[in-house]
Amino acid sequence: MRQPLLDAVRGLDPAAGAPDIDGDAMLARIRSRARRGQAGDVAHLVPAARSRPARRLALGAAALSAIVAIALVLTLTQSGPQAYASWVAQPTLVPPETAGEICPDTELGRPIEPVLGEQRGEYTYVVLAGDNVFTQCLISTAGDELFVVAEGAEPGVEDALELGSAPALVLIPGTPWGFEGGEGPITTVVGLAGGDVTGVRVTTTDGVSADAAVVDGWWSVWFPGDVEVSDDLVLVTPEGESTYSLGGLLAPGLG
Amino acid sequence: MKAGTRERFEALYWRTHRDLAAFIRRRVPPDAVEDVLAETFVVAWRRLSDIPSEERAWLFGVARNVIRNTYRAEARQRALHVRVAEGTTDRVESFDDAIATRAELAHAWNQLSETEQEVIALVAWDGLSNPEAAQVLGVTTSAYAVRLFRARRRLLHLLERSSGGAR
Repeated sequence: MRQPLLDAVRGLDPAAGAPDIDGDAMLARIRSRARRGQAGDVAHLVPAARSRPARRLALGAAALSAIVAIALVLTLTQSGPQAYASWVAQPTLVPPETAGEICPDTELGRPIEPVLGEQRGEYTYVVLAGDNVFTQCLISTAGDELFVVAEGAEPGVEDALELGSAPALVLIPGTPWGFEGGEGPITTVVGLAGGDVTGVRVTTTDGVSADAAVVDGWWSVWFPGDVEVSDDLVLVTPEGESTYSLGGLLAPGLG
Repeated sequence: MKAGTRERFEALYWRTHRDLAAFIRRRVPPDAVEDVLAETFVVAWRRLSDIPSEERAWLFGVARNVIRNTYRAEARQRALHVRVAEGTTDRVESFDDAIATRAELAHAWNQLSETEQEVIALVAWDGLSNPEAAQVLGVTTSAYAVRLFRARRRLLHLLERSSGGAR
């Protein structure tokens, strides 16, 4: 986006050329009103302090052309055979802004914003997106202490995060995501969906089926462990269900 | 109010009242500007010790709350709209290749949502930096930057559409 657009908008300023107010008269009016008014009745007019993530996470810079993992481990939780024991196949949507507060807010130096938040058991998964970059962030409250891990990605081509005419696109096609600590790897499938898509279903080759969270054109599914995802991707629209090839919907630059 | 406090308040007033009046003028009908301005400075008077170093952004935030508290949404929406004479064909000089007329730009602007207009107006009209604009809206700087990016992209899209896809 170019600066000249803002320069042009400046030319529309409706306040340009407006006459100055009488500064002395206004100050006298303010003094008079302040003396008359009740003290302590203005709290609702004072701007709220900006919210800050509870813990600021620093992302290391990396040259990315596809998915690159950046593990941000705050604390360790348990791992082992009971990993992700409370995971469920049907997610609960959670407000992205709230869920993503603890996640990184930049990727490759570009600002990113939470666009999707979903909860499966004690695990919250957030997708954050910005200018041709996106990040997945997993937050676990399963252990004694909070565990957060994030991974950023930059598609190899411009406009990879634009859906275009496709019914859906796949940005992460069932890629195992391993990281230090926590409960071990997970396998994630993330994509974009058209406005008429109300549901997405992904199945592993072992036959485990999970519903995606679908929020504002984004969708996500993840499975515990390093699993293989079936190529059958089911999209649900008001007209019914249709099965697509997951590999056939890979976003440009990520295939 | 003690003398030192009064002096501090008046210094703040003289430093900021013109910018604040312009901020308000862009968002409320002309006959309401002075009321909102006075109310905003009354809040500043009472909360003088709470005002951060980014005083202008803080005052704009108070004014924004006063406006939101006083005017209905549709009135606020109208306020950020711009009016350009029918048939205006002068080109927007600073815009690349002068592809848009002022009327086309105004038309595209008026199709933005209130939120999108506010995000752009804070930097384009009110002259705030991204961190200051973020403070006015009560969001993080990065969240504001993303909103600005999206709002600008949508304005450009609307402009391209209204000017016949000349770009």
